[in-house]
Amino acid sequence: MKELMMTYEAIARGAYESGVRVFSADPSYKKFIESKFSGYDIKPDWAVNEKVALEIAIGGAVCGARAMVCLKHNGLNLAADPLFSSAYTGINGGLVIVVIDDVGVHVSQTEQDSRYYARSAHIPMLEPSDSAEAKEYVKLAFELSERYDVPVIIRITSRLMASGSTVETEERKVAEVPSEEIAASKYAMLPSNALVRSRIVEERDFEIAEYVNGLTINRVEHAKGKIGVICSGIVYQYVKEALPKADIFKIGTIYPLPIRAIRAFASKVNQLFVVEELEPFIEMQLKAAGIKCNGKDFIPMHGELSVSKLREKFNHIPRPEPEKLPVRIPSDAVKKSTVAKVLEKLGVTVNGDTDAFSLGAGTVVSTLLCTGASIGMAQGFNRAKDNARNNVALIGGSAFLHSGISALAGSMMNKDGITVVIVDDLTDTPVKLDEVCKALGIEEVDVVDAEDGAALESAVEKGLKSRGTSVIIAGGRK
Amino acid sequence: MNVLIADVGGKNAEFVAHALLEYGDRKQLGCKMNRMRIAGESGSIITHLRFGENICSPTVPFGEADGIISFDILEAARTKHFLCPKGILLVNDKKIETGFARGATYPNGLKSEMLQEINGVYFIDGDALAQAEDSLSAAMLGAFTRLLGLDKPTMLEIIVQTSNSNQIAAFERGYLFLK
Repeated sequence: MKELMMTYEAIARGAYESGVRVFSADPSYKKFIESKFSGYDIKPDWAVNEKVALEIAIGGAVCGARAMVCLKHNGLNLAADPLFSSAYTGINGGLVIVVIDDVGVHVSQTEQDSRYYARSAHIPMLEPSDSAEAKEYVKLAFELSERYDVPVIIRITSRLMASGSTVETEERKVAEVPSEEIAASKYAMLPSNALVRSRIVEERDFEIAEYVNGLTINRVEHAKGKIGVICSGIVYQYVKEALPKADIFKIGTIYPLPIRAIRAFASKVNQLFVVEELEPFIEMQLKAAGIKCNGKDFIPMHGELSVSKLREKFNHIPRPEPEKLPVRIPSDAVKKSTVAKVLEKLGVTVNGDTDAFSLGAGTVVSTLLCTGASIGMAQGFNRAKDNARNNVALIGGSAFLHSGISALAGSMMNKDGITVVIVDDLTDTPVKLDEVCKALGIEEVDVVDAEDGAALESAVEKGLKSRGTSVIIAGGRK
Repeated sequence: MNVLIADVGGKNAEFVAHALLEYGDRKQLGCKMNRMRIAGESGSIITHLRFGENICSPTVPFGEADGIISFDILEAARTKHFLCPKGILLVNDKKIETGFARGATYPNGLKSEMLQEINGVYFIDGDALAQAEDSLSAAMLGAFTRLLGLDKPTMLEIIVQTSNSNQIAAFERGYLFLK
């Protein structure tokens, strides 16, 4: 049966058809993915953060189940520790890691290129160009994962994730769980075991690098043009439309690259271009292999590409510059929560967190580094300013559980005195934030109604005057 | 056929996109789409729909949209560069005021600029045509169906099967409004 699916739906479908039994992600994916799994007999695990999400998936895979985890690029940063180790331990059942790079910075803090993780961790990476490929690549990724005993990453971008095309659905096939012994020599990464495994990783890299040259997802599309273009992912779709006369080498395996096949392609074209978004990841590898090509001398290193941009670059077709118009911001950030108004009135520096906008405090934060960072930043401010105590950390409950809690425990260990305001946005968990904070040894924990400005002001003022660490929980579910 | 839907929040865009996708399906047209939401529930949301065989990019290249339907004047201005020279720009003649980054305010003069620049621009009072809170998108879709020359019986069949009586009536009013 054929149906139109957004790429994230196609990935969920691919997971279902591949017989995935363990699926994990951080809760920000809940709204995208949960409904897609509802008819699929897969119960997703919503982890407090991406490191835990990947660990859940690795645990499932080591036990022989097919497992998938879904992360944003900055989530993969947090999950890098288990990522690198899992390349050494290998897996048992297949493990597929889906990472979404935010090319164009639509929803996050940075325009990071996660392709380097694949190379650095020695983990194969596939990059589909539309929904149909996304589903098929999930299935291929599981086959590769189990064939070579290695996690496989599927990389998509925000643009591709929000795109849709027709997908042909197939039946679900659930693989038997292999009864492999969970040997410590393979799965316990003590230095002595890791040294042995590192050699296996290197040999595996060479094997996969050779194997990918014959994969049909790495293919040549001849148009008998004068130029050859190497591309992958959604950029392939732009190239195909903007340059219909170009010979194209479409890469499906971003890492390892099918170098032998690319070398053969390069020898048959007059001029070779690498068209890729963000960093010169493909270009540098080709140049290291002695393949002459143009790339970032021609294509910008930041922002999204498009059909119009490529036509401008290659065919000198002028691209109208969109009018600079006011950008809308979330209404919560405009309304300002009572918490934000109180902090503004008190004139303190606010170290915010990634959920600052959803807390209605986007307009009062001075710093916003990454999820969970507000508490560590507040500690640093106090140290630098000799406990001047003129700043607070403002964080939501989910970001607090994500990683803010580690920083708060650290502040207690170091006997730092900081003031933390946690806006309790945890609507569907049984976790009680005040009890968690008290269990960390914090004596000054105030639970205040988030709409009671006077009570909030008084609690924050008291916290700022305190010598120890104080936490004000705004919202405090009964 | 390339179509853009420009909306704030996304509820109207969802209704129109669903109807157009269903239309494409019934006419057995291939389809690719893209829907990027900026700034959550109150932000701009631009939906690209591309119908036909051998479509590659899910986003419409600049200057190639046959039609743009916008539920707000600013969002029409934000997407107008996608319109092809003979394209149709249908705008709900309304300013949806939300917050703007860096303290900016809703710009003035956008409507007169578009009227001057674009031959195929149409401003309509969508709320007046809708006559009911849930029927703005249906009224606008009615007008858009006529302007783009889409097959009315097919589109009406879709609306009848998926919408309430207010929306069906609004679709008809929209269709008849721009002759």
